[in-house]
Amino acid sequence: MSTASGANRVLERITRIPFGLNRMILLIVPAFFLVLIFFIGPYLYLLYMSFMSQAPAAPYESTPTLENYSIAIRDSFNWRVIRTTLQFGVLTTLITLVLAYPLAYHLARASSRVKGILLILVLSPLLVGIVIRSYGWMILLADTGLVNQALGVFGLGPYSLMYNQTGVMIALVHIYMPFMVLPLAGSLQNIDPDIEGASRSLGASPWTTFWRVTWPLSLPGVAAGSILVFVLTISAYVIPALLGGYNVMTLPLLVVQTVSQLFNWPLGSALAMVFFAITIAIIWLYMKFLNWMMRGLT
Amino acid sequence: MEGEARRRWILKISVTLIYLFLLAPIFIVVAAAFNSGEFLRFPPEGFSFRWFQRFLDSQPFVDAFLFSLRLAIVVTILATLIGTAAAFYVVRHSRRFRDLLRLMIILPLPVPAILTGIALLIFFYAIGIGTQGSIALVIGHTLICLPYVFLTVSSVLVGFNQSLEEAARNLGAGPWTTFWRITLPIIKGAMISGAVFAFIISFDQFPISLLLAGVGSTPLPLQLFDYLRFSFDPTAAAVSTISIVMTVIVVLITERLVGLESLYWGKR
Amino acid sequence: MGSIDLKSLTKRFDDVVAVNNLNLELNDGELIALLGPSGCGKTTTLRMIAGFEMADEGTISIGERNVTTLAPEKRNAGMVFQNYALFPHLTVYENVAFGLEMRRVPKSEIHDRVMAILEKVQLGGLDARYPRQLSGGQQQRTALARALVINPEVLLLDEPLANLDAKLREEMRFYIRSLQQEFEITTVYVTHDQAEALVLADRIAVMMNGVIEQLGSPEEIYRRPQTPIVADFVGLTNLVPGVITEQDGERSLVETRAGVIRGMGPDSLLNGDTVLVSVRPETLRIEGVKGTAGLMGSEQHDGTGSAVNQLEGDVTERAFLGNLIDYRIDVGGGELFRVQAAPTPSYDVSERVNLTFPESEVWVVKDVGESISVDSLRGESGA
Repeated sequence: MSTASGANRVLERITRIPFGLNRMILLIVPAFFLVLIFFIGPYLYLLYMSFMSQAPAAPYESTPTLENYSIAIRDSFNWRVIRTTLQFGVLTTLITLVLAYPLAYHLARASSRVKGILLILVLSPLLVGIVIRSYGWMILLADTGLVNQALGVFGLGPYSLMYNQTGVMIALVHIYMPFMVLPLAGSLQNIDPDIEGASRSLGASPWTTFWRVTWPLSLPGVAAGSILVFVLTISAYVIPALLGGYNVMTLPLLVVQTVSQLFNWPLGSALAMVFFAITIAIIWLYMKFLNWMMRGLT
Repeated sequence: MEGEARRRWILKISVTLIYLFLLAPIFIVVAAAFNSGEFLRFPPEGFSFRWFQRFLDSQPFVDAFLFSLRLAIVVTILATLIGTAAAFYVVRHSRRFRDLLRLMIILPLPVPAILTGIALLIFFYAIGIGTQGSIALVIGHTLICLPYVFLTVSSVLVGFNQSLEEAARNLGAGPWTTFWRITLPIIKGAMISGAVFAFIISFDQFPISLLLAGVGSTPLPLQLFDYLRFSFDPTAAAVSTISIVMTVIVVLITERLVGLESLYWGKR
Repeated sequence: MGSIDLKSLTKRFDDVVAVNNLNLELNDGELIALLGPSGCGKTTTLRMIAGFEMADEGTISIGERNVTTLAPEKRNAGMVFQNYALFPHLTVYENVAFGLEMRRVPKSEIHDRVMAILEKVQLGGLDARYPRQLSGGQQQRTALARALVINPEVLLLDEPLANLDAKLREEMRFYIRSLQQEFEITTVYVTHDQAEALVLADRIAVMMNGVIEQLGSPEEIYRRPQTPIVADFVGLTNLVPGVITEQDGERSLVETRAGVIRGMGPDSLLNGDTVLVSVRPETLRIEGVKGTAGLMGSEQHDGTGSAVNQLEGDVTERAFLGNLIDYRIDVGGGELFRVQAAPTPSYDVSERVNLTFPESEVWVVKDVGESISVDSLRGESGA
């Protein structure tokens, strides 16, 4: 015993570098500086840039101003873009939730043999790039695409399903569905089937059991999935660009356009900060909600 | 119990339809790649490899593909090394700043990548690097891929039974021998899963690439995006199919190495 | 209140027959324990009564109603689940009130009834707690209160004590029994713990492989098991194979490798039947053999010449259990006897001892050739 602890003490002394710093700290150094310099740094610079003045011939002029923010929020066009983006977020989240719930429930209650296969089916779309998946929808939704061809057989259409909000919405729901299914299935899986059984044996119908027992217990999953889908939806770039064909303007499109095509860095930065603030606010709300929800659980 | 059976059927049918919805676009892309016609029609017009031929003949697509591959490999190596080391430190050795460090490394994940791209773009121009060459892309991608490696390796380290290492030391193994013989084999699965995540994220990465790609270094998703804005003939489908097949191969190799579950759950 | 009547009930899962043509009738106010190892079909039977599993064949009646195909919520059966299945998002009060709300009982009446039953199960004052804030025993009583408050026709208990520690489990046995008698409610009690079944039940149905091996009072099950498998599953016993050499009414004389044993057995037994003799470890009396061991040991070992129901052997193992000492004694002929006796006087390993046991405590059962598999079943029952 005493020799072992003695050896440990020697070892501890060896692994210590002078000034009391453990040399293990070297492990964190690359990650720390990578994130500090190339993540936190750029965001701080973005914040700084958002208070600079616009200049006609250069990207910006270093006189501080609040004008960018006032334009970002007060300009009616910008305001409309923000509103459209949030609308997309809310609608997509709701539709995704409705479609993902039965899928998640089925997945959570599947036998473990089937579960593996179903999980692969849910997750495999994530392994395919977003541009490729959007392209799949373009083939399906184009005026002469497969959906309109199929509808034509019944003498319907052609409907214009692409280069408008409908197409964007369909693709958004599709692409972010797995992010809803997984947290939902996780929280549904934590509900002991006997708890639903108990509700039934106490006289509750399946419908009542769902609303009084299953749904409230799945709320943490609902919240996690919804927030994920909402944040992903409002920051989507590829889908509104390809399936909206620039007819549908969203905040990410606007920010990128302002910075890399109009070279208006101050305004672009201010828009980005507004966007960032919205995202952070939603994540914060979600945390609040989750805490409130979990007061009976855990 | 008629009602119960009917409910179960309704659930089954709707679930099947939703799965179809989930998988249809991917199958459609693959189908379009092998269809001989300009447009995908029903019934299909016949089987052909002509769009793959078109891809091979298209210099921009081939260049973009090879560039993406090189980029993803470099980024995977960087993210795996940096992320694993960071996970070790945060889980095993950090005390006061543990939560802060963890939050810092994970932060690029919840923040919209398009914003990170914007911030990096302005920053790189401000410090004079700009987007020439591919250094900006490598840094941007590594930043985005880092949390995936960090999270998968952390989750294993947290559940790691340290008495295994103590047992090795007790049996006479030194710190390095213990690391190579005990620790590494146990976390290897998580490292590989993290690396696969990093590779796929980088290979399919769009928003960061959109903003940071310099002239002459266009990753595949960006090349595909630019192409699709003006036409969507099935050359794009052939390119997509090849990149899907590549992802499947990567996943299958991982499956052979560490099992598929660890890829999804980051365990073991 | 109502009786329960199960008629030729059968349930299959894929190719496995979980419950096979089972018949069981419970009288009004009776508590029957379904006792058996895991996988014997007892829980499946209970879940069919509750309506969570649909019977493939047969009928289930509660009182006068045929409920075979009725949805669980229409059966009016209170159920307590093994892990209690309390609603984690509802307080104790809300949990207990749930069933009354479903029955559209007026709010004020709900309040009175919930408070009354919580008082009865000694949970007064804990009504605002969430289930996770309760101890195991309190959760258990909440589950009982929730099942009883709706005045169910029958009470179904699925291993309700399995998740409690040993001491609490023993207390709760008596508590559940007194509660059940107070409510005079027909109860099906599923358990793998034979001690629980013996203490609680009016009658015990021992289930094996989807069929009821034996149905009877606790005493009948313990002292007069009808098959070797029941003898071995319920309580500890020494089973010694032998052949009947004399049968006179219910008294049997059996020739075994360890010697001649006289005991009781059903009068259906015949001369020449192969049987198993069951002797409970606690019924054997143990005495030291002083001085004689070296002298006559070898002759007595093969059993010839020794007196009836008197065996001599060597202690091969002893385990101190506190109130008892558990011995294993080699009586020759390859037979090891397990004996549980008071801790004093105590005998050491390899000491030679004399075992005697009264004829009335020996029970003879016909060997139907499945006794070998009993040990494997026993292993599971401890889980």
